[in-house]
Amino acid sequence: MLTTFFESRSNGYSKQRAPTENGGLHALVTQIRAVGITKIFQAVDGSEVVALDGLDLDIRPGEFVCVVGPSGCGKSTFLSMMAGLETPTEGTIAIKDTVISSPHPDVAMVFQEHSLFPWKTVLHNVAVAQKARGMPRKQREQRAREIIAMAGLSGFEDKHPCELSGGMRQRVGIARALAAEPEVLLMDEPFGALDAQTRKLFQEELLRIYDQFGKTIVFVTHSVEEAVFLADRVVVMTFRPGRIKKVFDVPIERPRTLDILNDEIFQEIRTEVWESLKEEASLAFEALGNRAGRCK
Amino acid sequence: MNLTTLAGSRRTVSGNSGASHRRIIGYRTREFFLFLLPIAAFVLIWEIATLVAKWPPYLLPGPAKVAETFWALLINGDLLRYLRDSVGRLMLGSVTAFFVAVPMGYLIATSRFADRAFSPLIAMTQPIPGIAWIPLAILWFGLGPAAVGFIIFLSAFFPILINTVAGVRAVGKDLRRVAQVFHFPRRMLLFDVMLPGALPYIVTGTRLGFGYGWRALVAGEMIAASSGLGYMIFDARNYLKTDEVIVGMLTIGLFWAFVERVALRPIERCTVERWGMVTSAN
Ligand SMILES: Nc1ncnc2c1ncn2[C@@H]1O[C@H](COP(=O)(O)OP(=O)(O)OP(=O)(O)O)[C@@H](O)[C@H]1O
Ligand SMILES: [Mg+2]
Repeated sequence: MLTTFFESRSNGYSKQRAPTENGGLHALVTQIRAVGITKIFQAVDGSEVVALDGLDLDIRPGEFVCVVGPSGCGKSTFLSMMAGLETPTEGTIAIKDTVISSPHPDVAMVFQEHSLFPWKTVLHNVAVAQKARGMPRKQREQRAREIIAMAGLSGFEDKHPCELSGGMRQRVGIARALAAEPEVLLMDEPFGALDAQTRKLFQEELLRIYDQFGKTIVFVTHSVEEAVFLADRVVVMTFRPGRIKKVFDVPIERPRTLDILNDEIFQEIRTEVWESLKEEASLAFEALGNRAGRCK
Repeated sequence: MNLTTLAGSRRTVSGNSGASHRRIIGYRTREFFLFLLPIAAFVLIWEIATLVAKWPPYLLPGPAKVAETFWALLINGDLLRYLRDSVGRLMLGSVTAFFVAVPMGYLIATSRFADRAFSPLIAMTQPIPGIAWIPLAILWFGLGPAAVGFIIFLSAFFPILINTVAGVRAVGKDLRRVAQVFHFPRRMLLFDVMLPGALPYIVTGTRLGFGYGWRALVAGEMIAASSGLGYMIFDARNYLKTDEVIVGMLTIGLFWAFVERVALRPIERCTVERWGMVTSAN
């Protein structure tokens, strides 16, 4: 089952991936531009939490960017803002040079808790984006079936999410986002709930999708290894207030397979990223200890 | 379930020895006895008590006498006619309550303004039992179906309303965010996200509401109607026909147990339970 994930190359999706090395053609264009992003939350007790503090980031079209950082540093908040679900307290986010204040039609998201509709079948879950756009039923279901087949979920079209395993639900979550035919795919720890082996296979499959469809992907994860394996650039964030600590280039050529995990260059970058993240992680760890027992 | 029964009966035929005999009885048979036994025991005690104590029948007739009356009323059509009238009023009041309570609950749950405007009123009105409205209902609507319908409406309304509010509020923030990201239009947000998301609560509220309505109905009919099961009980009491009183009570209980089993449970089973939104009761 795992072998078929987005195997077939088909139906107008196969845009050429934008060249990411050496800047090239798209160096002048930004897909996502975050300028001076600050986010302050009002906690229940009235105190203020500075989740993000003056964050700048440019993402090129077709680029795969991974964001790592300690728990609570504002990764999900940042992603939600790119999705147009939260507004920054200060600063702006532009998708293709348009400053957004609500979800942009070219951006889709895979959620941290996959967030499928329990009352909809796999087919109808995958078809929601097209339904929202008013595509006729026959057409959108046809489309959803194709994507379901590519996601290796054939035969499960009429099942409800509660009948699927965690891994399959995550596939549906990804299929749903792809069915929206977005230019930008935002993914918030999509593989967090998977066991280690399945997770590796999913990473490989995601790269296959990426190589085929040429989307811009922003991917949040806790795993340094995952980040380096997937990304063109890895963004390391600081613990509260969330800032960009350092950005690492990953000049490993594509297509990548799990074999590169043993390459020297991979391990080098992984160590560098981990060193950078480690201090922040221990800060977060201490802070968490102090906050134990408080509800947010 | 069928397989167990089959396997069980086959083994009974092949004649096993005593030790494992208890396990041989099929699942269905056992369920049936578990269902029947308490009822049989109750009837038996009732029968013995009436035989021993020799109460006059207007105080407590025996089960045989009640069964006889039940049959007689069934045959002459009185019972079914009363049942039909009662059910008709129940549907009128409860279904109206449903269609007012669900939209209003949705409004209260989604609009802060509506919440502010209605909540105090609801908090005050809700504790008043439906039957406390009977005097006013009679003054306003006169003796008749409208008064009874009004009382049923009030009894069914609040459980449905309050559960709808809770249900809509319980729809996960994550699902609402999905709706936002994928640009669900208003209609789709309502029918594909909020209402199905609130459904477990709405189903519970409706079950409670119709149940309360059914109870209030009987009380209402005792006072403000000239037909229906409540009326039947009240009228029979006037003539000291205690067996008819008991037949009326039995019908009320039996009918509702029947509705629960045949209509309400299956609805739950093939919606919210199938979707894994609530764990099944059995
Ligand atoms: N709605 C909110 N109200 C108040 N505080 C919030 C809210 N949302 C997030 N926060 C706070 O903002 C900070 C960043 O949260 P966020 O969920 O973005 O972190 P994260 O990096 O995604 O964490 P994790 O890795 O655990 O998912 C946290 O300290 C959190 O407590
Ligand atoms: Mg997060």
